[in-house]
Amino acid sequence: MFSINPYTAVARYKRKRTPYIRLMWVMQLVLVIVVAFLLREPLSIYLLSNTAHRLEQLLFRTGAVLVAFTALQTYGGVVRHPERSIFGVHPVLSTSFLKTVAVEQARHSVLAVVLAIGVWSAVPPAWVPWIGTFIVFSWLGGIGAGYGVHLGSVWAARTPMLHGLLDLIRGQNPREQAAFIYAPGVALGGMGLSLILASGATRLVIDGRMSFAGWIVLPLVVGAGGWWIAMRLADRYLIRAGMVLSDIDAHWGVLEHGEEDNSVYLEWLAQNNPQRLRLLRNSWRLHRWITLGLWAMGCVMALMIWVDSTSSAMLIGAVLGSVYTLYPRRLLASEPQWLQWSLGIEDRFQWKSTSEVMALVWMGLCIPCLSMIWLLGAEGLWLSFGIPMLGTMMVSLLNGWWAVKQKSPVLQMLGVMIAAMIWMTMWFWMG
Amino acid sequence: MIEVKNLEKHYGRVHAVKGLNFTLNPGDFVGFIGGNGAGKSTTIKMLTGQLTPTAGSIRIGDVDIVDKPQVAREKIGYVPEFPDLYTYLTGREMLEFVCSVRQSDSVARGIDIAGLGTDIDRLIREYSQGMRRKMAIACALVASPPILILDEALNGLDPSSVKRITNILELEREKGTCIVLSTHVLDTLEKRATRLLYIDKGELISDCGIDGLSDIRERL
Repeated sequence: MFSINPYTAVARYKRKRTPYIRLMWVMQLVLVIVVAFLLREPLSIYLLSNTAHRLEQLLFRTGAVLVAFTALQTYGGVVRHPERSIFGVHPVLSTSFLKTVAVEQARHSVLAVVLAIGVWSAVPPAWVPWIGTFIVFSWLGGIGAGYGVHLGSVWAARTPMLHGLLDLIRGQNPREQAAFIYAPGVALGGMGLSLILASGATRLVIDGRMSFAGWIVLPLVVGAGGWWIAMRLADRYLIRAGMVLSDIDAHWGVLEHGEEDNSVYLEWLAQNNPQRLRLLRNSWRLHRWITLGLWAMGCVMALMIWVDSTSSAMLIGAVLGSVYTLYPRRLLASEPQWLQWSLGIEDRFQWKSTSEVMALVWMGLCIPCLSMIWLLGAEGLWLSFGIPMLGTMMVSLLNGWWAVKQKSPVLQMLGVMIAAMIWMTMWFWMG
Repeated sequence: MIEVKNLEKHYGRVHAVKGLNFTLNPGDFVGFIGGNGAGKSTTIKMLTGQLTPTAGSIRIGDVDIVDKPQVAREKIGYVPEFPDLYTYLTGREMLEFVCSVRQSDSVARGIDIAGLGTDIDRLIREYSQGMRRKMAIACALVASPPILILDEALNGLDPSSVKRITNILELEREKGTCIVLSTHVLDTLEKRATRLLYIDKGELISDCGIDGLSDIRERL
């Protein structure tokens, strides 16, 4: 038997024996520092006028983003834990498990705190401790509230009392899933008032009104309340989360099985190329949300260009483009490698098909934006958007090659950083 | 020990399990038989608290599995059809983990059941599929739970390992453990099972002693 919390012992072994976890963390830290460095100057310039109001608004939004981020992470910890199929076949020591997951989550999400504090590093030094305190309390509060709300959502998914409400808001989703879908919103709503009060208090304290300092702790208090609730619900609802999840997955499995048709996005472009056709089917049937998401975000970016908010459009492009370079790895992860080998498909052909599918999917973001630039006749924007879009594609091809060759994920992160740098360079160039 | 009443599971319009009724007692070695898609795995997932029944009830001892899944799971050792393990642990550490969550100190017994020799101290990610399956079986048996549910657990094991593990299962049965083994290998059941449950299209077709095996073999 382990002498400590068994889940903690397992988490330690995992960190120790999975070397790329630490490397990935360091790479992400570097990325966070670079982004924080790039954003600190614009933020301090933004605060030069209407300072008090803007400071309070920005603090509130930073806190809200942190809470939303941690609430989404909590869902992965409580409900969709990637190792549930391992520990879930045995009895679960609920509170021990929850403590371990919370610590691991804090370890992973601390980079978000580094980023959130880092972007404030160009403001007057006397502000930073108060802003840092607000951010850390929002982060911890988000974690605590997230656990309380997500375990509560398992209760909500099953209780007949809420069936009517969940049926009203669930749309096409199974009732249980509605409870999970809206849980991060509930966590954010629950934390909202405390964030409003704490961000206001932080601004007042920075103005010298120290009597408001106590209010900054409010998000932490709400989070502690959420954690207290989570510890009480854990025994009853942690295991049930897995049961509810199995039901949801089974529901979608049946629906997808019943509704599966043969049509695939842009299938007509792959009629005489079986390798490309298979990857297109893989992309559309397993990762449809990426294609649809890129089209949706492409339209959003086009709208931003239309209303002359090109800088924001570029920032969105930078985030999406950087993350998109990881797609080849995800795409190939669901390709049976043994089949490639047994059919004798060479790596370069697999890479070629992967690249073609990557380009076709990426067009979802490019076409709306470039069409809008063409419609507006904004010739100056062709290079600003065209170069990073092309750069993202090139980096995706590079990451695709590394994925085909099954190289370390660290190289993929390098690709992400290169793509981010291309976008940020063009963003600066655009002024 | 296991009491199943009017058990049903629907996935939308699909009725995977239709009104199962049976009671299993201590010392039963039950062969759970059915063709592909008969509803065996769905039933087993409900028996082990992985899935919620659409209707009906399952009692493990005096506990309803939907009301108190945690208490019920403490009484069950379960080997899924596709068992997952912490691949970054060694076999010994995996058993230590299971013993910790089951509040048991029988790691040595688990090592004996796994029968992996010195490989027990190698990382699980270096194990073959057969070795992983032996580990999963050892994890299920290590704390001597009163109920063992094994879903196609002997698939992919070499004949000598099957013989060794079925011998261990027989010893457990003699001690009063209730064993449910879902398998396509009817020869294994012929030698060990005391009772057979045959399920087809979600319905219980036959609940009989081992003498009913030849009849079930013909139906399959």
